[in-house]
Amino acid sequence: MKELSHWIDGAHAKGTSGRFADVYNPATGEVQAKCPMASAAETEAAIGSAAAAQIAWGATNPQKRARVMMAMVGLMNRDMDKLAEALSREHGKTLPDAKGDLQRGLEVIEYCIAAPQMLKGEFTDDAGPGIDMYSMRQPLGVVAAIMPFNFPAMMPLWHVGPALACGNAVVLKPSERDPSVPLMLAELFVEAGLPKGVFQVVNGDKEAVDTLLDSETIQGVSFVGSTPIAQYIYSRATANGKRAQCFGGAKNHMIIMPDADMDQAADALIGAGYGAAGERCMAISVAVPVGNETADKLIDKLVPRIEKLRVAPIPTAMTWTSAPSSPARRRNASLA
Amino acid sequence: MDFGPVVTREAKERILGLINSGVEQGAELVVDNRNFSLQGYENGFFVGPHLFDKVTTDMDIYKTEIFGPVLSVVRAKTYEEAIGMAMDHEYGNGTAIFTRDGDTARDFAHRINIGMVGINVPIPVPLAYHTFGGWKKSMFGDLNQHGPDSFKFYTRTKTVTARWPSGIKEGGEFNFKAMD
Repeated sequence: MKELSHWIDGAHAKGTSGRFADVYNPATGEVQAKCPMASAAETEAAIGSAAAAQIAWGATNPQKRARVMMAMVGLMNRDMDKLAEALSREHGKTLPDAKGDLQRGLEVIEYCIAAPQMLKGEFTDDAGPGIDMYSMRQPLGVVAAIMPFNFPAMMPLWHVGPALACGNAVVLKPSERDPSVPLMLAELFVEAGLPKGVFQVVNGDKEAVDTLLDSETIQGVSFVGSTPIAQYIYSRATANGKRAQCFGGAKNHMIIMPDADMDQAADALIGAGYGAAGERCMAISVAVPVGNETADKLIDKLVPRIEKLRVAPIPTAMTWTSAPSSPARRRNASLA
Repeated sequence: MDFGPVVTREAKERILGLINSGVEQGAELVVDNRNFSLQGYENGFFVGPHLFDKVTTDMDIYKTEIFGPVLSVVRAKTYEEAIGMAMDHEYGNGTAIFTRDGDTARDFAHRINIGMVGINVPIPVPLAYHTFGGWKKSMFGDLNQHGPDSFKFYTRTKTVTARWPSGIKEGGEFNFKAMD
């Protein structure tokens, strides 16, 4: 059985707690790997060495930090196929959809190249007699990102990229369902020139999460997941004096007016409702047609499209580029 | 292929349980794939696509985030009833309107209490240089993900007020002097 690791101080680190979570192949139901669950002590050690590494990273000028992001863009593009396949195998989403997951994360890394511009402060000349006033934006120190299973590349990248570009160290706790891609991204960041220890990956469950939330070293917490957990993490992090941003659940409504193009609306609903098996916080799960005539027309268009949907495991070989995809799927492929 | 399995056996069971609750609570299951199975992958976590019609706002399938391939149609008599439904729901992540009428679309975008809005775009995921985040029970905190908000979230501001009452130009010694 393949045993996954943590990523500590720029290298894979075997779990020492003796506790593991099963990583499934969701297409077969078989366990394909064991993911270590960090103890409080392992989590604290990761936070400690992140704090030590952050001092030099925070003092590195923003332009140099941005160059790490530039290199990361190149490396992610180089390894795109490999990353997408690893992502699909643990998550179960299609390979084109896995590439979308990576691409939307990559776009935030591209944006982070603007760090020197984004971090510029403000200045008031002669705010009083002989007095100048200026502001600067400084990193928080060590921050934690606790991320969900449904976008195992995009969600960590949305947080790790900006946090690092700002000069912080990050401890990432990815989902134990699909932890391989976050570990691969950690390897690529080191290859891109990120100093060791600045980005740590700690696999775990509530024990690791509570250790992060109660740590006096952790200054900020980003979370994405379900609403009850988002509320729990927000309460506990802020009670401990940290800043927090916690994103929860959704029930996205799409209103269909009687004058809408019904073919367009139906195609859109197929992609938005069923893409990634509905495991997206931006999935449309409620369609609200206005008027009975609109509802009847819409359902007449939806049913044959739903019947044509192909639900399947990802192909076992890398032959997916030649696999056909339905016109509805292609039309929505650019939308995460 | 269009979509794959859901993430775990527990997720599959939860989704199928919610589908059953929809049937029990009186929604019309127009596309029913509860017996869906793939040959050779019988133990995989596959859930076929489902479509409900005549869902009402008191049903569990309307109130709960299903996080599976299940689409619910809730019929509204008027635009006001439709926008009211989206506004009254506890979640406020994303929403969309499909119409050819700019006035309706503009009204919808202005009034809705939801963080991300699509106009003839079903999944309005903002790009990297804007910010991503919902309202109501979909977000706890102040600053969104990526875009300028992320640079604010991951830094703190220090403001310096500086005054230099007197400096070398006021009375400095500029002549080269030998040390006595």
